[in-house]
Amino acid sequence: MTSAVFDIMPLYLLRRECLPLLAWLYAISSPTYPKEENTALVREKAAYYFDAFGNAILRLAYSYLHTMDESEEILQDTLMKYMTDAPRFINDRHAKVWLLRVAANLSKNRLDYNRYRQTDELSEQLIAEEQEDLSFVWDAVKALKPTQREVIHLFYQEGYTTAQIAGLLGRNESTVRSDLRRGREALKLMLKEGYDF
Amino acid sequence: MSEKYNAIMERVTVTPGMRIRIMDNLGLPGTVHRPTLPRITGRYRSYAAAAACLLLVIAGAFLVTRLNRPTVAPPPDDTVYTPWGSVTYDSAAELSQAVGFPVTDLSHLPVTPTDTVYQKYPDGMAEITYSDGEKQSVFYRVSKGTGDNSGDYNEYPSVYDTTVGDLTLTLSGDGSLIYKVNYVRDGYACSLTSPQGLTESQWRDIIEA
Repeated sequence: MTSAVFDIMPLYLLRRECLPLLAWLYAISSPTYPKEENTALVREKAAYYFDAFGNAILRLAYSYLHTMDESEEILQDTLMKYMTDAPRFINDRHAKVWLLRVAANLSKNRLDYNRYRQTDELSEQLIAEEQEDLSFVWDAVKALKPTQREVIHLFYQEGYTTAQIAGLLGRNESTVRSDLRRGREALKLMLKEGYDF
Repeated sequence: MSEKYNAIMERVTVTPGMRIRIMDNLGLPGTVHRPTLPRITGRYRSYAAAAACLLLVIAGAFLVTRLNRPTVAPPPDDTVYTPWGSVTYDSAAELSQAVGFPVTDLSHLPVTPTDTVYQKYPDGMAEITYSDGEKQSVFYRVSKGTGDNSGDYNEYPSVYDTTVGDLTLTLSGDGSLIYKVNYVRDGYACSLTSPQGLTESQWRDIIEA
């Protein structure tokens, strides 16, 4: 919704005297969650979210960082962030989106753009299992740009639409669609054939 | 692409060891965790450090003067408390005595557990956790009543009932593996969960034993 608001805004509003209006518009368009005051309940929910969405958070972090140790730290930091902010969600779907958004931001903060070139545990595991086709696909995904890789992961692994991915990552939907298209084209080129896009 | 990518990502999972580490680090309910001292932050840290040093000096002087006096060691306390009031025990027998209803160890587990935790929750539920440290874990819960006490709120695509003897089991999974089993035995709600999943026959072996 944030991007939609700014898409329709006339350019002449982007002036200093219009900043309060812009701030108000941003506030009403940005999701805010009331804070859960019951700390015991927050901990119970944190444990529940860990069991419910731990794998999803871990996999998203791994798609960025490619190491289990750092992905585990991101998972822990994400839950710590939830316990600190204690937002109150409407339902589990909103909770998952919030958690994945936090995990994505934490992962990107830690991302070393050269790291993807190193062998990771998943690559080693696939090689050890002689899963050459999966290893090939994983190497191709790793070679994508981080902005394309995160969209590919959320699209294929979590099944989100481009609109949902845009909201989760705080990006423009057209940019997300573009990254998805380019990522798939790059994968297709690297993998040459045999996979349904 | 979707199938291949998902097949790759299925290898990235929260292991039992990882779960225990994170739950313990965050002090979340359901972990074996010794109470930690409250953390001192802000401007009081310097005062706390000075107070700690002074305390060490006093304690050292006290000990030096009392070196030759006999001391009586406090009785060992074997009870381990988690931050939320749950208590661990050393055996299924002790756990049964604590909760007031029978809780027995599981057998015919698909792995040999290297770590078994017997735990009573504040609401009277009993839980036994079997883990081999890294790859496989099984959680067994028993409580009064008939509801789902597993703590597993995932929505599974495959949920169906089957019978083992006179027990009606509700199995929840993804079509190939079962991650949660619920049943009522002798008026008590029972649940078996495994984050890694087991086959139906493996669960049957455990319950029939």
